[in-house]
Amino acid sequence: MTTPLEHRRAVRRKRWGTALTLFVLLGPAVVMVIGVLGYAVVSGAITSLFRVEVWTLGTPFVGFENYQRLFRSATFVNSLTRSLIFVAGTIVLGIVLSMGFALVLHAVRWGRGLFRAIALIPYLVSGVAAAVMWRFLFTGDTSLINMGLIAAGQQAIPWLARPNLALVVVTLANVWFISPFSTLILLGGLQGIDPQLYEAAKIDGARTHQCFKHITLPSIAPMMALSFMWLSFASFNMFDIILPLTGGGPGRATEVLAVHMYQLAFRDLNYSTASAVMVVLLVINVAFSLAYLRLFRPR
Amino acid sequence: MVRCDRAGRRVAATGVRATLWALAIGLLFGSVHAQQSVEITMWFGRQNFIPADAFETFHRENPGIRVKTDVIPLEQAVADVLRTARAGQAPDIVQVPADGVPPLALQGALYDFGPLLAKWQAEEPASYANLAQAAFDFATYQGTAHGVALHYGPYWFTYRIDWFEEAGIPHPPATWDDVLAAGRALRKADRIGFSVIGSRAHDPVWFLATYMAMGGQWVDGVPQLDSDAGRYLLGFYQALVRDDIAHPETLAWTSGEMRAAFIGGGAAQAMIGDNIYPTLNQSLAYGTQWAGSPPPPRPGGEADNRVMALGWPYLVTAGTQHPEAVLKVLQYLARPEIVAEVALRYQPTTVLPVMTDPGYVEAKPWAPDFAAPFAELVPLPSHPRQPQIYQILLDAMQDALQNPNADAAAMAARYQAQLDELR
Repeated sequence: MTTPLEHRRAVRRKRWGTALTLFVLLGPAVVMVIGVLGYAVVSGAITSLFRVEVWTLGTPFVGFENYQRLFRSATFVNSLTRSLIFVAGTIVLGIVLSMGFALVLHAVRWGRGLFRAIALIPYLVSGVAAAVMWRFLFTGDTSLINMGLIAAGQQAIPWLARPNLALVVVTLANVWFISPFSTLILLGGLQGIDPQLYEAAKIDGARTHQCFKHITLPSIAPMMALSFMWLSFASFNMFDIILPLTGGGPGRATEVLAVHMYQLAFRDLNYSTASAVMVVLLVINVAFSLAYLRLFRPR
Repeated sequence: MVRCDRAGRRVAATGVRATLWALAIGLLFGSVHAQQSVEITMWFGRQNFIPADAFETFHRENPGIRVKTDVIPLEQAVADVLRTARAGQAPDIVQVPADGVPPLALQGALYDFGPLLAKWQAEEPASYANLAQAAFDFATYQGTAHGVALHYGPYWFTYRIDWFEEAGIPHPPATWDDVLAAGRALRKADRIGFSVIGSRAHDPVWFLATYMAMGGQWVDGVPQLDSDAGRYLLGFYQALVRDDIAHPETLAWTSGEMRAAFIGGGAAQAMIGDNIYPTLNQSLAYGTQWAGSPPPPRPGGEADNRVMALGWPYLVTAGTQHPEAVLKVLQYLARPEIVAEVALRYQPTTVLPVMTDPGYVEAKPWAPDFAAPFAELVPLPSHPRQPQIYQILLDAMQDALQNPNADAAAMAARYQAQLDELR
């Protein structure tokens, strides 16, 4: 027989033990994130408060001047606008396709493993290779798309030479590139739904779309939030497809924030303004993530 | 048994003593060697700039100096030098595009190489005299020399001589108006009149080479778009699109597409770098199918016509501890037999005797035709904010290509205002 005091102590010891195990297991990951990412983010945020430009001597403290200059810059406003269009397009198309693929992959019985592996391939290709492939698809009279148009009696279209069409192509390439991962997230969610829920609903006379609306979507709400977050993050930070595909052009039609940040930091060598763009991107990403978590909060 | 133990102990003691002696001798010789051996770190901007002998002869002739090479792409060399200099780890010599000299000089990252150049001139006058003026100009900022450029490259106006002759068009075109007229006359369903880069994939150096040939001027390193030459340049780009002389996808074209169009027989004219001529000559025959010339002037701008060159100078960094050894390395790289090997397979050299060397002329049969303009190449003027100038020029170029019927004068004035803000 244990006394209540001993029992409380045992429970407390167990709780401490569990907490300690968690900290020990999480420790390396936390140290890595703080050491690699945290340092860069803090350093970047501090740099954004100074003037660090290669053509001037010294690094004076300027407070929020870099941010003020940024929001007065037509180039930055253009990049922000283009980014929002690009991200919105990617999210809408990306979530629809991801959900569709996830549902099909979940339903398919024969060759399930093979199809899942195939669905992941775009995510495994490097961004630059994907960009080159998309360039071949859309550039020149001998590109696959233009050859199709010509075969159909239409004229070839200079896809990447027209600002709005170039943005569409870049968005499609981005969706192709990043959707497989969100498909995987949603598939994980679908596999976690108890099949008895569907059976019970069917017995009650529910139709397929009703099952989808009232069982599937609420059940995978946390995974939906994750998918939205991934599509937003990956799109706002997308750079490795756009630069080789369009270089940010024509004009500055595809110069999204990440590309603009690269231009500022590594071509203009204007480190402080580039850091300010990094902070703006970070704030946008955090805001979007919070919004998704709130939107898809389990009720 | 006791005897065995003693013998064993004696062997062990002898072994320890021998090891200690070996360590001492090793340390002594190692430190003497370290004192005698100087290591020069050199960053090349492209693998192709490294001589084929990889400093083997140099090391034989200078046993006390080791040259350690690395390849840091030209595009990132400026940023990397600044970063490593802050950590006290900058290389002794770095190769950058010439427009990287002003920011590096402004940040105090470069060594005053003037006195060592004077020493070079005094000690090896023949080697020094071999160098074109551009060799020094490319590595000098505000009167201070920071190194030397052994390679530079111009863009030549290049055209299909067979098509010109077939169509009875005099060649090479005398002005850029003639280039446009030839472009209109020579374009066909399967070929374009003029191949040009329109994308943002590169710095607008082809655009600037055309501008300089048209008589374009710079004030304090800032190009003057709002001038006769600038307005003419924008009008020229507009005409390329408006009159269907260039490809409809020009706005998305990189150097690859621009060159491929000409080399593949799909374009009548283009501005092509000297380093591409060997590749071009593998597809088309020089003199019968293709020819080149210095870019022509704009009508009325003949007096200001110049041929622009890009340079990739070797700069000595402020942190170098061995400037004398650095001088020896650069003198070695400037030797005709060393630099010729690089010039033959890659970029032309500022060591002028190489350009008329029989071996060079045999490998590059067009070289004699360009010998005179080579001696008069003009370095692209640069500014500490050159990357931003490039961005504005790309905006202007793409604006002209996207709006072929807009007022070129208004366009030039608008972008000039942006350029002037950088001065």
